[in-house]
Amino acid sequence: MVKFTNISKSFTDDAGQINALINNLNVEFKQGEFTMIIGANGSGKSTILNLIAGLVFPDKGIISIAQKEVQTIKSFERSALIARIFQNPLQGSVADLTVLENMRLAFLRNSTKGLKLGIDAAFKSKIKDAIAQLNLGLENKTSQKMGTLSGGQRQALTLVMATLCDAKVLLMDEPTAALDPKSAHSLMENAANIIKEKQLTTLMVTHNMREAVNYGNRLLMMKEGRVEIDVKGEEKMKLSANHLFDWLN
Amino acid sequence: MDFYAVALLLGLAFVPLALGIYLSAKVFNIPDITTDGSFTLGAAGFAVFILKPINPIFATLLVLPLGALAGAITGIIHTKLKVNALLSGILVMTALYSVNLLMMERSNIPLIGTGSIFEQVNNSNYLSINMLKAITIVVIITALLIWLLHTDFGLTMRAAGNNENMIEAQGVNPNKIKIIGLAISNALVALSGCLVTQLQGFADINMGIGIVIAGLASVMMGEAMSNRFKRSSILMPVLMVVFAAILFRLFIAFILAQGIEQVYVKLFTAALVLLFLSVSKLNFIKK
Repeated sequence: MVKFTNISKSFTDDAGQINALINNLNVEFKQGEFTMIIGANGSGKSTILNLIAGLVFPDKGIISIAQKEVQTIKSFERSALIARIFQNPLQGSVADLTVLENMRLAFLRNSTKGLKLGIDAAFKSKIKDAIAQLNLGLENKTSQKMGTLSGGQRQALTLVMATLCDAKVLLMDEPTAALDPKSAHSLMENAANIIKEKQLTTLMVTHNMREAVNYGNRLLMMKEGRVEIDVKGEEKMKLSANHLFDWLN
Repeated sequence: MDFYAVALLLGLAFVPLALGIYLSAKVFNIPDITTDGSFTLGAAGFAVFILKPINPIFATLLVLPLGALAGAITGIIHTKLKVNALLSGILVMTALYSVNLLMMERSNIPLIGTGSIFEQVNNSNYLSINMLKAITIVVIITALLIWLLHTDFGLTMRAAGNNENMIEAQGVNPNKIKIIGLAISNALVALSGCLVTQLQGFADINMGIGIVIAGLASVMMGEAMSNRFKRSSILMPVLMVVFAAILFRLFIAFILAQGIEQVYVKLFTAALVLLFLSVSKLNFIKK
């Protein structure tokens, strides 16, 4: 679904030094694969997500999503394929709009935003059903402003927004970092269910080793812009948090 | 009583201005000063059209694309040339001063006895007829704006001013939305200038100076009032801005009626805006 071929990305720092963020990376993520990405700060984890989302462009190499080369396509033009959840729960939704209005924007991701009053009874009940799946009781708060909800609630709703239309790829950059343990657990459970149900190709960056072990069916460890460790399936199941701590040290 | 009726009429004419500034300042979070120029542009445009002569209704409608063009230029300078929003507005406002003067060919054009969508003073019922016309215009404009802000496109506009990253992630080009938004905002402002010109019977090159602050005063008052309602819909803020725009003119009329001279009006307006700005920051006093 997502394929990196010979991708390199570097930046020049203030001192004029060229630093490699991603170094000749070749990796492929299959449909429905839920990949956890771990690694030290600066190892290139977030850069992988940003390259897929189109927020940064590679210096060389080919990125393809669903067999289409996208490395030079702007972020808002490739967003039809990609849903994103950010570390900051406030970043994924609009505080001044109601939950329903946010959902409407997310629902329209792949279509034109025309002069239509789109929030009708059918849309409302569709959204309520989708939100009810979170089991957080938020389906009764759809006419509240997003800004009145907690970070955990907003992040959970962002997850629903991300999956409202048929995105192929879900990118999550430390989605639980700003949440309390209970909200974090509930978000991860919901995410795992949705990813499985919709067969989303998912990449999640995390510093939480327990999450990295407990969720997903593949794990990448990045080091200095390269994939240091890549485990899948059965092998991934056998991992424990201690393994990861050993690797990272 | 006629004195307050005239003020009320003028207040209605200032409603599109307040709505335009509400759109740029509150919905898009852009401090757009193009307003000062596009208000006069609406007046100058109407004066030129009506002296051609063009039918007053057409002349009034024609100022809409003029204002939209001015707003779009500000939007393009801001988003494509990456110039600060405030500076982009100042640039276009300054340029518009020349454009307006070139259109008018002199600094003041009297419009007594020329065509107007409003009744002239010599009609005995002119106040009530004009009131009815102005209210009709305000109702149409307000309803259109409320409808627009509830459409899918309107949601995108409201999101653009609030969280640009998010709408980009939803596949929207935020620059395009901002340009369209500033165009709509300035079209409304130009309409306001055109209506005011028709009511006061002249177009003047300086009539737009400081008008952005007068509009902002209405927006601030409207916002303060709508906060009392604690509603999540955008309906209440828009209605309150309309109400505040009218109230603001009546307030000014009241002050003038107390024998305070016209020169103080702008000073008073600026002080009022400052008051509303600081009250919202100092609201711990209420607790």
